[in-house]
Amino acid sequence: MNLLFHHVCKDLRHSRWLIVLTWLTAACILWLPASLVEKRVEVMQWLPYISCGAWVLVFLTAGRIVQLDAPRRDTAFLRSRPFSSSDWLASKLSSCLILILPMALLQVAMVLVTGLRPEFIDLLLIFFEEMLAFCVVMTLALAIATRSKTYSNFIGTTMVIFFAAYIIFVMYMIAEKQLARTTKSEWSYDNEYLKLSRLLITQVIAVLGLAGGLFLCMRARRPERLAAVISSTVMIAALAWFFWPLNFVKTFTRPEATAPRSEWPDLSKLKLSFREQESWSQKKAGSVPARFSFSDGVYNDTTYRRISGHTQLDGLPEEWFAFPNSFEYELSLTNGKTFSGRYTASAGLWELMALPLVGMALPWDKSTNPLCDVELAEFPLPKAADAMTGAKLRGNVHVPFKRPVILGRLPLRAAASTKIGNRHISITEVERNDMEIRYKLAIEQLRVLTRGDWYSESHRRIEFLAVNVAKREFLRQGSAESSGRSFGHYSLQFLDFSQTIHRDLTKEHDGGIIPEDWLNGAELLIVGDEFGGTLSQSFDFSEVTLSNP
Amino acid sequence: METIIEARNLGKRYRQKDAVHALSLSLPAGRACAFLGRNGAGKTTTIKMLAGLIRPDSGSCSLFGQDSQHLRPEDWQKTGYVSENQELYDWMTGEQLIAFTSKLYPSWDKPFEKELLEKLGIPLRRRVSFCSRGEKVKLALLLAMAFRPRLLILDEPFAGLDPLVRSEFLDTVLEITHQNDWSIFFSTHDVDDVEKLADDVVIIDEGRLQVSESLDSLQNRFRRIDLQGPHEPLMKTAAILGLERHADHSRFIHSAFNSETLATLEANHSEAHIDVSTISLKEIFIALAKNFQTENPRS
Repeated sequence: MNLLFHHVCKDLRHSRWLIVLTWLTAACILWLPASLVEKRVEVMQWLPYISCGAWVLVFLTAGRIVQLDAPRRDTAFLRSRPFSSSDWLASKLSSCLILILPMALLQVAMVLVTGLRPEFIDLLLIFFEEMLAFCVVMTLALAIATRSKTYSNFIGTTMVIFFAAYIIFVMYMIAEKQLARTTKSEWSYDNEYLKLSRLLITQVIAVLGLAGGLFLCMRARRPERLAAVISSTVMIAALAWFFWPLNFVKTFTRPEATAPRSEWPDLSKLKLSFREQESWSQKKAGSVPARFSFSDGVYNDTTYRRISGHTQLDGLPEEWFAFPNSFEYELSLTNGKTFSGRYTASAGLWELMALPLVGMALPWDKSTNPLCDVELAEFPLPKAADAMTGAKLRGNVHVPFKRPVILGRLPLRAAASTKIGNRHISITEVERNDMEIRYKLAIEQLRVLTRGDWYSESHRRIEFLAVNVAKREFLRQGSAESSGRSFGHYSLQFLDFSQTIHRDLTKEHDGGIIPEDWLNGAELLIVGDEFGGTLSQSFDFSEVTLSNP
Repeated sequence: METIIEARNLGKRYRQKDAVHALSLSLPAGRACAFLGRNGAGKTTTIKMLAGLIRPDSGSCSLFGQDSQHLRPEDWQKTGYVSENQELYDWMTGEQLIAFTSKLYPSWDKPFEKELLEKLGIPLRRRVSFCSRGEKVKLALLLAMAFRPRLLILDEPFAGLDPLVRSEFLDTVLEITHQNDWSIFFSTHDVDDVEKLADDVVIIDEGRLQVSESLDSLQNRFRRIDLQGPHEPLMKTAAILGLERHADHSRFIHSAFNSETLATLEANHSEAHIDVSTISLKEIFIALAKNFQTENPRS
C-alpha cells in the first residue's frame, strides 16, 4: 500500500500543473451558483464549453499519467524496476481517480451552492453519475495510453480513433436517414425511459468491462491487455447505447402523484359509450350526426390524420377528470391496406380544473359529460386512389383518470418562493397595470438522470394559476413566455406571464380594468394532478368514412 | 554453478529482417560477459529480450530461472539495468530520483549509495533534465547498483561519454563488481573496456552468434603471424583472417592458434622467418568484424 501511495504521489507530482489546470477548469463551473439567479442563464451559455474543456483535459491528463510508465515503452524507467503489473495498473487507476474525484465533487458542490437543497440520495446519485461519466473518459485514455509508446503517439492514436468514430457516426447518421422508415414512429413517454435504460446499461457495461480488464490484467500480468478489454467494452457500450431494447427504468420509478387506491373511482360503476353527435357539415350547410371527428398533422412530409370518437362517460365522481387517453388500433381499408399503431398519452390536467379546490366554480359545465370524445387512431393519410369509405377500425382506448391537486400556494408578490419536489419555484417580479398583470417565475430544478427527473413525466407536470379567492377571480389568457437553460445537474427556467382577469362564470366577460387592490390577497396556485386508475375499452367500427361529413 | 542468464534459440524479426536469429547464450553466476557486435548487430534487441522489455518471436530466455516475459518484482530486486536510452524521471532532481527509487528496493544500501555518490560525483540538487549525458549515465548506474543486485545488465552504458567519465565509470564498476562478485552482462562498442571488465565475450553479427567463450580462451587462440622471406602462397582457411601479402611478407591473424599450428607453419615455410605475436581484443574484434563483413556484406 505504501508503495502504491509512493507511485501515486510520483504520478501526481509529474502531472501536477495539468491536474491543477483540469481542476481549475472544472471549478469554473462554480461560477453558476456564484452568480445571481437572473444572471445564471447567461453564465450557463459558457458552461458547456468549460465542461467540454474539462473533459478533454481529463483525457489528456489521464493519458499523460499513464504514458509516464507505459508498459509498451521499453525505455520507461519503471519497466526495469521491481513493480508488478497489477500494482502499476492499480497506481495508475488510483492517480486517475484522484484526478476525477474532485471534478465529480465540484458538480455536487455546484448543486449544493445553487441552494436547491437536494436530498442526500440526490447528492450521492449525482456524484456517482459524474464519476461514471468521468470514468468512461478516463478508461478510454487509459486504454489508448497503455498501448501507445509515446505521448505524441497517444495523441495521434486518439485523433485517429476519434476521427474514425466521427466518420462512422456520420455514415451511421446518413444510413439511418436513408434507411429510416418515413412513417411516424410510435411515440411514448416510455421511450424517454428507454433512453435512460440505455444510458444506465452503457455505464454498467463500462464498469463491468473495467472490472473484467482489471481481473485479466492481474491474472496475465500484462496491463496492455486491459486496452483490448476496454476497447471491446466501449464498443459493446456504444452498441448498447444505440440498440439496447429493454426498458427497465420505469419499473424503478416511484409511483408519485398517484392518489390512494381507496380514493380511485370505481371502474365498475363507470360507463363509456361511443355515440353519434351532431356535426356541422359545410357541404350540406347543416348539422348531421357523426361518430368521429378528424384532425390532420404533418410529420416527415407525410400527412397524418387523427380520428377521435364521440363518447359519453357516465358515473365519474365530480372531482375526477378523464383526459387525455392512450390507444392502440388497427385500421383496414377496403383495398386491403392496413394501418396499426399505438399512442401513449402523457399530458397533464389543465390548471383551471383546480378551481373547485379553492372554492371557485369551473368556467365550464362538466357535470353532463366529463368525456365528450376520445382519440382512437392516427394514420398516414391514404392516397387519393385509396378508398376513404368503408374502412374498419378496431382497437382499445385507455382513459386515465386524474384529479387536480394544489401542490403549493404562494402570495403573488416578488421574492415569494417554495419548493415542490425537486423544483425550487420563486416569483421574481410582479407588475400590475390597468389592463394586465405580469409576473415572472424562476424555476430551478435538480436533474438526476437515474431518477428520471430530467425527462418528461406526466404525473409530475405542474401548472400555475393566479387567483384572488376573495374576489372569486383568476388570471388567464394573455401570453406566457418561457426561456431557460440546463447544465449538468441544474436547470433554470423563466416563465413570464402577462395575463388579464377572467372573472367567474357569473360575470359576463374576460378582461377589463384591473383594480389596484387586485393583488392584495392574490395567490399563485401551483397545480399538479394525481392518477386514479385507467379505464380500458375496446372498439370495433365498420363502414368508417375517413373524413368529416 | 548457477546460471543467471539463459537464452535458447532467441529470435526477433522486425518486418522482413531477422534482428536476432536462433541466439543461445548463458551467463554463469559471478562472471562478467561482454556482448559485442557491429552497429545493428542485434545487441540491444537481445538485451531487451533478456530483460523482458520486448517479447521474442521465438525461443525463450530467463533471468534467475524465471522466464523473462514474466519477471516478478523479486527478480528485478536482484537485477540492475542501465541502457543508453533508458528514461529517467527528468522532472525530479537527482536527490528526489534516488529517494523515489530507493523505496522500490528493500535491499537498498544507504551507505553504499553514499559511497557511489562520492565516487561518481553526481549533482543531487539539479533537475535530471539539466544534467549532462555523463551525469545521467552515472545517476542511472547508481540507481542500478545501490541495491546491490546480483546481476547488472548494461546496454552500451559508455556510449557518448568522454574518456574521463568513461574511465571513472569503468573503474567504479570494476571495483564494485569485483568486490561483490556480481554477474555482469554488458554490451559496448569500446573493446578496450572489455579487456578490463569481461571474463567472457559474446560476439554477434546480423543477429547470429559468432563467438561465445571466455576472454582468456579467445585471446589464447588468436595470434598475429608474420611470414618474412620467400614462402609459398598461403592456403586460405576459415582460421586465417585478414591475410595480407606484400612481396615476401605475409601477415594474417590465425583464429585457432596452438602449438601444432606453429609446427605446421614452420614445416611448410621453412625458409621464411615466422613471427607470432599476441593481439589485443580490439584487433581480434576488428578482424572478426571484417571477416563477417566479407562473408555477409550488408545491403
